[in-house]
Amino acid sequence: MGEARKELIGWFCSYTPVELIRALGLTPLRLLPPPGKTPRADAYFTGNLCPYVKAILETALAGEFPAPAGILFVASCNAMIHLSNIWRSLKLTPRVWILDVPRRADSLAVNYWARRLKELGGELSASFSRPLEEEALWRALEEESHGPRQDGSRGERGRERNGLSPGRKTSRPRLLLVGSVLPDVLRDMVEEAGMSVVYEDACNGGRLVGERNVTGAGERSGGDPYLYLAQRYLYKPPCPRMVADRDRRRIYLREVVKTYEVQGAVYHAMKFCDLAMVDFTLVKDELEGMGIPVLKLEGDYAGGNRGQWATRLEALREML
Amino acid sequence: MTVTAGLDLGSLSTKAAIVREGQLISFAVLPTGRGGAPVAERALEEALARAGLERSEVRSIVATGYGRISVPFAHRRVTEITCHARGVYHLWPDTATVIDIGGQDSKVIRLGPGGKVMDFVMNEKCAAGTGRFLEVMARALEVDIEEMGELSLKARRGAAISNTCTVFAESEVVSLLAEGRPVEEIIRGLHEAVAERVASMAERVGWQEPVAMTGGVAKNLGVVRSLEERLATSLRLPEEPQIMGALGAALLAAET
Repeated sequence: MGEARKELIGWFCSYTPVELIRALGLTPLRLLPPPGKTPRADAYFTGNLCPYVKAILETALAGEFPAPAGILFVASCNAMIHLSNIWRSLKLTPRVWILDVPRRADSLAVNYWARRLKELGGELSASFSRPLEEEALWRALEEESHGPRQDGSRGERGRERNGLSPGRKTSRPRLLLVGSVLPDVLRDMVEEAGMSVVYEDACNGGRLVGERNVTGAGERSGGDPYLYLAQRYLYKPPCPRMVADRDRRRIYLREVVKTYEVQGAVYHAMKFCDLAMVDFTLVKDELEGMGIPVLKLEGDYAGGNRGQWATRLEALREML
Repeated sequence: MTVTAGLDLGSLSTKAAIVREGQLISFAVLPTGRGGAPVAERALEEALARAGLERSEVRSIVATGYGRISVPFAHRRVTEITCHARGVYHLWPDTATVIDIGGQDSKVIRLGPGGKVMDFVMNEKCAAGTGRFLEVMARALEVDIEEMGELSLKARRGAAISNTCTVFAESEVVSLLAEGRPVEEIIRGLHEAVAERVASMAERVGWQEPVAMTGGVAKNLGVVRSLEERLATSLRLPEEPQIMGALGAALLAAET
């Protein structure tokens, strides 16, 4: 991947504690691959593996990512774990870390993860031979809470994406998009079909921005920034991977529907994502219980079949 | 006297329906071929000629189907989901579920009060469970697609077809022929494979009785029987199942 630039640490998952990276004076950078075919990556993965993960490896193998000093992986799903193993074996960056994340949010999980975060902080600190001051971590936490994110990720932290304002007025049907990394083409097609996206429950949308008030994250706990950091991420809007936290996901979805006056939803499931398959049943059940129709679209990271998607989206609009 | 028209541009055939005062008075079905406005125009003219009407007498036209965007003279475009629902509601207002198997896709639509679409499921990228699947198999078996229904009813059991992928299923059919399995049994096996696929879509949408079936494949009694067995219900079959989308479109044109 060319010459490594010391200050950049790449990341992929919304559970990446970017504050730890920032507290060390390093720059977290979300590496979002462009859509496209993945001929090189296909040599390393089975056919039915996550297309997002394949697109990441493809872009790395093509040398098209900015050269980071290291990658902080999160063990968010099996596909991401496979990617981290291949990344390490191909030595795509000088350093690779992988961080475990609990699949639930409670005091046991928070305590466990706070310890793990502290260990990771130690590993990062040793790797760059620079101390990780607790005060610097508190400052990074403050910076991430207020004001626009400045992580050099081309705005993908989601705050600026359209549709995230509860007050957005529109005469068109108000739509919630649900998925992992939502393809841009989907938002465009929703608008072309005569509907408006009012909220994106996605890891490049609302789940990344962290509407933390929705679920009530803990405040500074006992002066331990690692505990606070653990609480902050584990209590953010839950991702489908938080399989032991499904009740909180239901509550979060109900509040999103209410806050954003949602009238219909589109669930974008990336092909072969088991977590999405399971999550879809929860979302459908919860939203239909509130009288909100849910359309499921399957696609890959680049989007889907435009003709088929257009028909389904227009039919949803006609239903609304 | 209000005359409206519906045009359904499917992947294999293009249908036109003419409605006067809420009643179907004429229709035409043409092969889509390269599709687009010319075939839609011809279907419309043919249906109008059968009804003895002039184009100027048509108040409104609604286009539906995959080619709906390529009909410049349509006043409105509506998806085939809404149109099939509307067409079936016109025939049997108490229908709760519509199964439509067309050339390129199959869909199951759940209807609510007033014929409103409550939910729907369509096949995804592949051709399994569609008319195209049967068309490819008919070619491999060297039988006329229109004979398939009758032939399959002669079989006492169906050959097991394990592939739903059209390409692999075609190779499987060739192997079964080489083994000497009767064509009737193979066709019945194919119909059962289509029924299995569509029934799982029906389960996903939470189907309820009464169920109506539309689309060209509804003319194939073999598929109809297999589906009835699989769902353990009897299906309502319109006299002309292929034109239900066009009929719904013409009815919606009258409501504009």
